[in-house]
Amino acid sequence: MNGDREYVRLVSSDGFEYSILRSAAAVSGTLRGMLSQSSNFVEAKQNRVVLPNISGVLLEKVCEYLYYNLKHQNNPGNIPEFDVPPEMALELLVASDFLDV
Amino acid sequence: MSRNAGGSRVRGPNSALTEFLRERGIDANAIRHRYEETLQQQASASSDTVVTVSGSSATSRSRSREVETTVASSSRSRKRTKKKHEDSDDEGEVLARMARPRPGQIEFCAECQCRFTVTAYSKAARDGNGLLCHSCGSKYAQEEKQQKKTQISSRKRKKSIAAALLDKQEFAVPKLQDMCIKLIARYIEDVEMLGDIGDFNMEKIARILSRNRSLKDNTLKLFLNPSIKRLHFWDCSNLCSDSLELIGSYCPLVESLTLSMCGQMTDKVIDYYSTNLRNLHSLTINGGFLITSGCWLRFFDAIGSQLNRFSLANTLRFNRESLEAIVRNCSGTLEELSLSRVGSLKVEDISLLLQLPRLTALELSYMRDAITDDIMIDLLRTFGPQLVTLNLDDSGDLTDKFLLEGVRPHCGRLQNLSLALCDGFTDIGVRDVFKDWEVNNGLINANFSRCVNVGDAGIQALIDHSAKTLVVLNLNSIYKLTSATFQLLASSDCEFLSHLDFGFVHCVGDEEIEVLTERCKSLQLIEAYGNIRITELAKIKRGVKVAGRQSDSL
Repeated sequence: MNGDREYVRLVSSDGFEYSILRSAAAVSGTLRGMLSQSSNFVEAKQNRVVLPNISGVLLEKVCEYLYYNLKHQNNPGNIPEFDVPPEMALELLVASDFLDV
Repeated sequence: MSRNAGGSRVRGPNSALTEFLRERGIDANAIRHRYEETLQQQASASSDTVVTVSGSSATSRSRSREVETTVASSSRSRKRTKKKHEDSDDEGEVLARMARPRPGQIEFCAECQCRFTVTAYSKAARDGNGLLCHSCGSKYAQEEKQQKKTQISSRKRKKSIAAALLDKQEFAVPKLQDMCIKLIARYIEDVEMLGDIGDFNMEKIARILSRNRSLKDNTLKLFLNPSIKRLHFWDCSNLCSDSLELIGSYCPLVESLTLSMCGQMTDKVIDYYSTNLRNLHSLTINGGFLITSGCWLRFFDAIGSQLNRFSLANTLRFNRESLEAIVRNCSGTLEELSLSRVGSLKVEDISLLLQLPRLTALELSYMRDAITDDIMIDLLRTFGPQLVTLNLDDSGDLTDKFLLEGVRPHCGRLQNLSLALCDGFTDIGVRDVFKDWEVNNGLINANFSRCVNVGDAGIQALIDHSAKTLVVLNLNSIYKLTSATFQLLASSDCEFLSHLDFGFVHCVGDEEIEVLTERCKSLQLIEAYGNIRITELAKIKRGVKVAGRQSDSL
């Protein structure tokens, strides 16, 4: 019924929803597992992942990174730097550790 | 030799001669064509007939033929005069000078047939049949620029791949975690509290800081936290003695402590540890050369009885008395002992180790003067049967006797054996240890690097014995090996072999490495420094990193 929708949704702790490509979400090991169609997870069935430990601002940055990774996957040699504001660094580290990204 | 298949536009680095010829617009096809035409003209010029071509394009074609005749005749006369002066000239050069019109002459564009004056910058036509006028030539300028760009970028890419290989890093998009850690490390001096990010990331950050040499007195506190049990700092060179003491006061529950490059550590620090670190059972100190032997004595007397693992490297102040203190206090608990580059110990001191019955891991490396066959045989007789790890790197005085009377009879449980730089072993000796060595089930880590007298027989015996269990194999500089050994390795079904080093073993070439990566399913890293017979053409299976090939950076 749901099939393999091209876009999936990520929901932050403060209610922001981000629609991203399934292939972008798959860059994250955790998300890939959660959205895997062969599992019985609710997330996979609804194509929607709720992340109550990650805030909206952080999640947006994570999505930005997922696309950055997807875009430059094939040519890792000469890619532009991914900008991270220092204030966000610590929390982003926790989030990225959780998401295995 | 490395021409691109499929006629792609990417061109690699060229020799100086090729670049020179290309700059001058000298093209082999053009030269050949002109030479053939000239021969034709010569043949017809003697009968003084002008070649005319029938058809609508007669005018322009005949004009171009006329010009070419003029060119050819003038160049012929030039050739005659030149020949007198430059008899030893290369035929190609003469032809080239003869073929290419001088700047200033009028020529017809090979593409648009318009008249134009030849300059030094006129480009040769794509098929070599003439020159291009300025507008036609500049059409290709964009393309040529692009070509150069791709050439440069492919060179850069090669360099970055090679650099990444040398660091044994994955050549991929950097992980977000790593980027954050790098950022934190950079701003470490501004960040107040790192908060809860888990022990593992804490260690990663500590590692990065050590690499950046930014672990200093003012940043140390960020890593100290009362609940920490394991603390590893690999570069404490910027930590003063007081800061090192801080570790003792902030982290009293620490159980495993590693401090490398801790040159500023003094007796006071060790004394403080011995009173404060009640749970300490594993200590590694590398480079604490200021600590006196008396201090070590006190340390072992105080908490020796709870020590499970002790590792010391790079000091000259650890002597017989200190070793006696270890033996006196730790004989019941010490299981792993590592002494490396402790120059003050002598042969008779090593015999004290006989009184440590619970040892399962022993390292006595880079202490040539203190290690002899007899003392090691004695040690192995005592705790050989329970020894899992043995490292005697750079013990050049050891001979086959040690192998045959020490290792073979007693080391049934041995899994990790490192005998690098031991040039006293012979091929036959190594062979005789491993041949039908039934007591032992197979080595997991084997390091025979720089054992230059070992050859095929010894290593083949090792492979026969341990193929099913080997994970790390280091055969660096065993230059006498032949490809027979590597064929054996490939056909021996080494399903766990993941790290292989055969640097400076000259026999290994492309075929050997291809077969190896094909057959050994778990291979992850191959170190191939100084193997000149391995080129970029070797077909390496995906997922296997090969570091050190000469072609990587050329």
